[in-house]
Amino acid sequence: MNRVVETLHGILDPELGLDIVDLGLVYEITILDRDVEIKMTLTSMGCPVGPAMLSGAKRAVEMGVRGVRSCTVTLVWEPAWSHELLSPSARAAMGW
Amino acid sequence: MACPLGRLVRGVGPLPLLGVFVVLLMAALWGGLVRIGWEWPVPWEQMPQIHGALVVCGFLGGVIGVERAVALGRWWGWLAPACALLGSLALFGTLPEGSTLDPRWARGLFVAEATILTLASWVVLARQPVLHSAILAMGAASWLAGNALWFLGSPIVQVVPWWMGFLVLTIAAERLELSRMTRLTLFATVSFVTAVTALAAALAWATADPSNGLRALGIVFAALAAWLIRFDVARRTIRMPGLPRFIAVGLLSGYAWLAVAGVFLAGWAPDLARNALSRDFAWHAVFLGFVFSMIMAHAPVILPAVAGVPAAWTRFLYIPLAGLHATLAFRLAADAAAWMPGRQWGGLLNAASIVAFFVTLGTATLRARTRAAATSPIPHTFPLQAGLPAHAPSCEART
Repeated sequence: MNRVVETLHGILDPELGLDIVDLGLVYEITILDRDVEIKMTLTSMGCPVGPAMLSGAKRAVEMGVRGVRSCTVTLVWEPAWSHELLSPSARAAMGW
Repeated sequence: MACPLGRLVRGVGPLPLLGVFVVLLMAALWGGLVRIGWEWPVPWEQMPQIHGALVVCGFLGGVIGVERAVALGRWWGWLAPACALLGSLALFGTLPEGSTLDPRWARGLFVAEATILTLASWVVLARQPVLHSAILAMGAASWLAGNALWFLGSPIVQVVPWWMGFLVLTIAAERLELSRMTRLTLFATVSFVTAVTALAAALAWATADPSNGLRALGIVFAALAAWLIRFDVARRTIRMPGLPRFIAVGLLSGYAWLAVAGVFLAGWAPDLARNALSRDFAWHAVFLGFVFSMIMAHAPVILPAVAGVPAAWTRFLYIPLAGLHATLAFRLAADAAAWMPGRQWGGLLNAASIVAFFVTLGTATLRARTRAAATSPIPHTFPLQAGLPAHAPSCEART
């Protein structure tokens, strides 16, 4: 589990320089045997970068975490993302 | 039913389509350089005259259409870039047998393109009824209004402000969306809404009364530029190393050009109707200084995301970005001084900066692709964190 979270910490939003965990985009991680399921969101439905971010997370976990057989990343829109989901370090970086 | 272009893109990826739009941009630049006075041969007689439309409706509309189609995830979203492509080809206006195509074919296709983009924006707004989605829809509607006016025969000088409105609103909406990461005050939100509302009103005014309407548009552009410089997240990310800083530099320098355009329009709007140099100044401050700076800033992000190629930022991209701004300052100074050789050389160097940017980005992308295939066990389109401080996990992983 920790390795999955660590790997997701490595997926950065390229403009903000912050990772998707600290941005509060990762809502839930479920591990069943060797299969990982991730539920995550995006800040905007119109974001063209979204599909690549999801596929990047999937591939990073499948290929970077030993023992993982498959990873499914599901995009969810509830609850809606808000700045309250930013981690303390992300909030500090963004001037909160 | 599915869009043939969408099926083709699903098969080969969007990169070839983006490549076609870059080729159209190169043709537009060539036509623009002939228009500015370079005596070069052109394969199609219309190339100098179609420079502006090819840049805005062909290249910019096409690339934005591809972005929106990827985000939308629906087959019909690909009809917009398809219309951009067909409209651009129609702009060249000469069929193989030598007859000249009625220009309304191209304009009609651009109306269709803008209509589809507007519909796509409304779908996104319906899914997520938030302010930035509404402003994106406003931007698309502005483009539709301009293209419709052009189709109905309005002179291009009345159409261009609507095109500027499309691009300014689209960019402002996307920046507002990202600015939610920072602490936006009530004043910031209210002032932004006021500015975009005023922008829409100024566009309508500029159609009815170009002198005063364009003055008002200039004031709004300057106000929006001030808002973006003050509140954009780029003020924070400029302190971060690497790509975030490059993007921030591109954005903030682009906002400065929007402010320059705004001040110029506010002061010299009545001159635009009779003075081509004034129009050159205003249009290129917006389209080159503001819009192309945005393109250069975001291309290292959008290209990997949309085309599925590895992220390929290199610090060498600062060179064409700096070149664009320096040569644009030179060109617009030449416009102000009515110095024709300076305009010509400035225009040539502007084009060289844009070409250099795409060559540099393309080279970096090819290298990244080769490196990723040869060495990395984790093929990724998003850069993995390297060299940044570790952050404590912010969410609980449950089993």
